[in-house]
Amino acid sequence: MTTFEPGPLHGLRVVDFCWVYAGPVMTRVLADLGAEVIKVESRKRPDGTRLGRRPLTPTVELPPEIDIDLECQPLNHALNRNKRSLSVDLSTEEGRALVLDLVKVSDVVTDNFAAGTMARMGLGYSVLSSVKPDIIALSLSGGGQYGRLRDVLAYAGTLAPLGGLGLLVGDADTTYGVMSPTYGDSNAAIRAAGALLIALYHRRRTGEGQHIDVSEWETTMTGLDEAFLTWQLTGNAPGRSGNTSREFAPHNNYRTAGDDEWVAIAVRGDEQWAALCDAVGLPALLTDPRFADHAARVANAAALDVIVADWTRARDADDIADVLQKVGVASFKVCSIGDQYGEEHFYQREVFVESEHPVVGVEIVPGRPFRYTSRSGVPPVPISRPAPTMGEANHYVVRDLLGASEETFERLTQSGVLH
Amino acid sequence: MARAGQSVLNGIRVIELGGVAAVPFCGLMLSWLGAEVIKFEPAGGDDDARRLAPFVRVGDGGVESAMFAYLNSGKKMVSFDETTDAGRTALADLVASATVVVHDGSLEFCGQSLGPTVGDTYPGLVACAITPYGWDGPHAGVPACDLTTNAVGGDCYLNPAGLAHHENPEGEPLKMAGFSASYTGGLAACLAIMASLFRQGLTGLGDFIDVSEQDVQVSMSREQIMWAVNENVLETRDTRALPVGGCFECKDGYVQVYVFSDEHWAALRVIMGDPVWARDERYAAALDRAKHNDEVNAGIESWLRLKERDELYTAAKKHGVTLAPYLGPADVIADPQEVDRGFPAPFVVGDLTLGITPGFPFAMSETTPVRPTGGWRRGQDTAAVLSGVGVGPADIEALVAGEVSE
Repeated sequence: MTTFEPGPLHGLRVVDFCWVYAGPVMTRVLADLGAEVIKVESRKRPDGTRLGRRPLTPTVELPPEIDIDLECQPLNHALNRNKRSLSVDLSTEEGRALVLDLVKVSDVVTDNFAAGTMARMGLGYSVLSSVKPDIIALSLSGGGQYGRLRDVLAYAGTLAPLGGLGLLVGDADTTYGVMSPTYGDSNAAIRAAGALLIALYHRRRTGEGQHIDVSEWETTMTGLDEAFLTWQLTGNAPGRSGNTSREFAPHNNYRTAGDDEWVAIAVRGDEQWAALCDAVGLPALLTDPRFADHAARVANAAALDVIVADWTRARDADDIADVLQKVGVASFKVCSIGDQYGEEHFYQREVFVESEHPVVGVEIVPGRPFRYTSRSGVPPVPISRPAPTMGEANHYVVRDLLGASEETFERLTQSGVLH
Repeated sequence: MARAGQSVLNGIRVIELGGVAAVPFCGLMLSWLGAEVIKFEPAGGDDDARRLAPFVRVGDGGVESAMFAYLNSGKKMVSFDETTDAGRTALADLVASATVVVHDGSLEFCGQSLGPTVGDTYPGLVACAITPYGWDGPHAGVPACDLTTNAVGGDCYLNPAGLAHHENPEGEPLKMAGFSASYTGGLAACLAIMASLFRQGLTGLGDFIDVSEQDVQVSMSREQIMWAVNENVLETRDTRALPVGGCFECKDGYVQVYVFSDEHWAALRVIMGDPVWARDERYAAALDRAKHNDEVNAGIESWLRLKERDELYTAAKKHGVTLAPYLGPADVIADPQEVDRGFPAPFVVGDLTLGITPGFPFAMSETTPVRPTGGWRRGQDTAAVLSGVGVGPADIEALVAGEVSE
């Protein structure tokens, strides 16, 4: 039997009420680090990411308890692979008691509901900490658990404008762009996972649990230090400036051969500039006074863009990147998702991995964001567990973790408490 | 929000070897958690961040990069010539005295001693490398910057979408603002280091952590890969437009309006005063609104043009309309929500007053971040730090002989 080196959070258990996007990305990181993440959900109000796709033809004959309408959404599989699922009706007293029993044998509780929802369900921090004094509970919401705007309607797309990021993205001569829809959520997720690690470390040192309140608005703002400092020190609020840069010139995405294909090129310093001029076969640029030094190239970046774009237009993006990378210039094709999917680098590094889902079969899902080198000689645990079907861990939770009898499990299932 | 808490990383020494954004941002987070962060600037030159705008005036008449001071606040500044035998030994001694090293692989020493085999030399050390494409793989070592990380990460290809793209369909794909790719890589590294420290406390064994800024971008934010892979649907800047809604100009700024559902549309009609045009049967269902989105968007825009940003936001909150103003630093710093939550905080680094910057983005009931001060001058802590790891005064003098004194 192959053995694997467990991840750094091996042995920790997370009771995970998160749904949709930001929360599940956060707890997926914990799962990748070795924690056992048990997603608490219900057929009464399934995670929205379970819905919205017509069922596929299953690859195997399905047992009757599998509801195929809830099991075919690839986004759900990407966000929840490596987790378990407990399906329980929290509106029943027995369901709530069962979850609190699970909290007693767990380390972390997470949610990304609107502020106050956990308390309304009778699962607020005071209740959780009364059954497990050193529990670490994290609530991730749009505006935080308190403050004037705690009830702000938050989608990733509104948080970028609110957080000041919206004003910085876009071309100077068009309106603001709708940004990457998931940036705000992913950024919040990775920060919130960090907060949990801080709290776990704190608990190890002091024995104390705590409650963590993460506002996605704030996590969006953190990282905009350059804009904040510039406004205060110069009086000028930075605006949308397209791809222009003060540190690089040229610095842009340039159209290449092919339909909507582009290449990113960024040049810093005289050495790289000389390498670029040589690579594009235009040594005359080196003596052009408009591009004599870095400051001149930044000032004349628009003219430079025209020249570079002229060179890239009929060439292949990958070929351009190859040539420029070899001479020390930062360059890469502007990748579509299709390009990323075809990129061998990401498979070698296990950024994309195969997962065998019990209903839809083999899928490519995102892998881990970073890697630990094995210390014991055996390989680190691979990401092998597919996204759970609804209630996949019901038996495991009731029998193995809570020690209840088979009869109890049957009764809870028949009565709809395990739902 | 602030209460007397504990510095969670008190007593943890971190050595930082790497410039500009990703590695220093990781170090900054660790310093906010109370770690002793020692920043090493090599003989080969300063951190490039020392040349980043904006600049702040120094008491003696010079200027210093406010970005550098911010990114490196609270850290000890150490520099000496690490290319000599004595320098290599001193750097190795420094590393041996630390619990964590975070680096970008650029120094020869990093490649030799702080890679996957780090445990052979330093068994308890947590070593983390943050590189653009990772420690190995076909693109390892390829030159990169935030623009290329955004380009490979998929954000450029989808940005800008919506009205901005339709106004200028020939426009280039755009990168995200600032150092977002570097910061995300730095954050992922901080998270991975915390997990490693958590385990190290149990086993005494360290780790080598390989953080690729590229991998972080792709694995954290590209769930849309699932559509491309499983459904053969490829998102583009064109297809990603919201049929109805987006960014619109109002009387005194910009607002973002989202109309996903019939409930959103009904609420929007209420705050618009249910104008005659909006009652058109052709706009009643979501799919029909999408078909006639140009007309619907034009109607929304003509109404927004007459309204002020804050008035719109107040009405939107009251009626459940998903509408958000585009705020700038001035708005955010002054916003009572954030002042109430203790988020914006004045930043002073040594003798530099930088102004107010975003603070620690979590309210934790038992852990309070350290608001670091410290200095920013190159090498200002070299002698004290080297002496702490047993380097004698004469050797220190020789090591820093080439250093410019501040």
